[in-house]
Amino acid sequence: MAARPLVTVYDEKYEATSAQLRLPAVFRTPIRPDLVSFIHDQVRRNKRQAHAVGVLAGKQHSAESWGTGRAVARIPRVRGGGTHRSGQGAFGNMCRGGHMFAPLKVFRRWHRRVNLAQKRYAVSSAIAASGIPALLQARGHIIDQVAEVPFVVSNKVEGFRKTKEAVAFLRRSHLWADIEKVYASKRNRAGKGKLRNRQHKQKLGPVVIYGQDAECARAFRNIPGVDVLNVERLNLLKLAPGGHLGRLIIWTESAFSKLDAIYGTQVANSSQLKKGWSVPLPIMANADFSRIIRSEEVVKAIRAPQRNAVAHKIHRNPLRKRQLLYKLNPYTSVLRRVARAAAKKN
Amino acid sequence: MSDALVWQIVRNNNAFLRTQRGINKRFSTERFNLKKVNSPRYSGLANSRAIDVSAAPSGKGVVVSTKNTRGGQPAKAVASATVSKTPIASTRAIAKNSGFARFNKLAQRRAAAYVRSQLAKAPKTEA
Repeated sequence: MAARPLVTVYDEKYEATSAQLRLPAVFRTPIRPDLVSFIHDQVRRNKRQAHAVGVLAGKQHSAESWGTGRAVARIPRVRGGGTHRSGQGAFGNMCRGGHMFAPLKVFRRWHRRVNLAQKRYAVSSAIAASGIPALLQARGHIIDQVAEVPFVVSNKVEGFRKTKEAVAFLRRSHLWADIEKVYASKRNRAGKGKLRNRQHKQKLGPVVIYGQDAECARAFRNIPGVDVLNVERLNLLKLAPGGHLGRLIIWTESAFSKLDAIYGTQVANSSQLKKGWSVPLPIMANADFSRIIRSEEVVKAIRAPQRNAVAHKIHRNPLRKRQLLYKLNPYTSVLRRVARAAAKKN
Repeated sequence: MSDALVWQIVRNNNAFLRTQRGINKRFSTERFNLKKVNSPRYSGLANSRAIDVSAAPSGKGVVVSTKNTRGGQPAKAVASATVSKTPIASTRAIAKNSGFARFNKLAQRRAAAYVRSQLAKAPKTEA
């Protein structure tokens, strides 16, 4: 679904304008979390820099093993005397001052070739997911007060140069709640990343997608959690951070109306900017499972549910369950009573 | 998009999922989940129509919300009512009248739990 045919354009004061846009066909792309997460993983690898430990690290000793017969392990040991180091184990990954296990090398397959069709499919899928309120909420975005999803605003927003304007716009549009969440989520990163200029972690807020004026990034870029993208160069890492679908997107009108030209419609090869590309088609015409199983055709074809199925009786051990024993042999109750009375007398 | 499909997407990965080692049950803290368990029946994400009972911010009574997803209009999808007088009976009435009869009892029990927790605690007597 998600395909309400028309989307209202809101102005920078959060008032609905008379402009209404047809929902671009890309919002009907099948939503494929598996594909998005896989492609995200591939794309993410292409920003990696080679790193390794020094080639000689942990190997700069003239150590030799003492061999057997000295009642010590056969690990190479530092030679000579006169210092504490002599006689200590060297080289091995289990030794203090030794090399690491399987030392990292710079020759490693750092980057990945990403299948173009799959990448386009993943981006389309991420866009489609951004049009479904439930998936935005499942990602953790706060959209309770947002008027409409997908949220399209007039081109005036692209003219913003001051962060003050951008903040006022976000507040009016009830998108500030999402930014508040970003502020609240700022925390120290776990692990060594703290030492490597990645001290803090925080959630991500909305992404602003513009069509024309890249300068609007000046207004938005200092607001925590906000990213700004050009509609012609959408980035899966921003549209589905962590490989999780459903990022909150603020479209400007010009960006939104370009989508059909960029991603095409459901007609084959309809994209004007991507050669031989059109919006991927769903395999199932109707993915509403509950509606399928309740449909007349399916209900007719299957037998009616057995409402009064008999529950199986559970067999219990009469020697343990006394009530069962009495049922089988009522006289045992008398015997037990007599036995108890006798025991009391003694 | 159908609820069935949304459920398939969010069932194993969403912002509200709570799992813990040693507890073989997955909980989910989202709004509109009456039992706060991760299941298609009670999920507040994968049910476009749902009812929710939460504590009133004033500390007295409960807020009963119903969700009827209207296309993509989150702001208009939810209707909330604060009930502070006879919260339990009112919750039951709202659940029944807004077409959530199957969650009637559950909503009522949730409301009752909030009311119980809101009762003034007896001052501690010194031993």
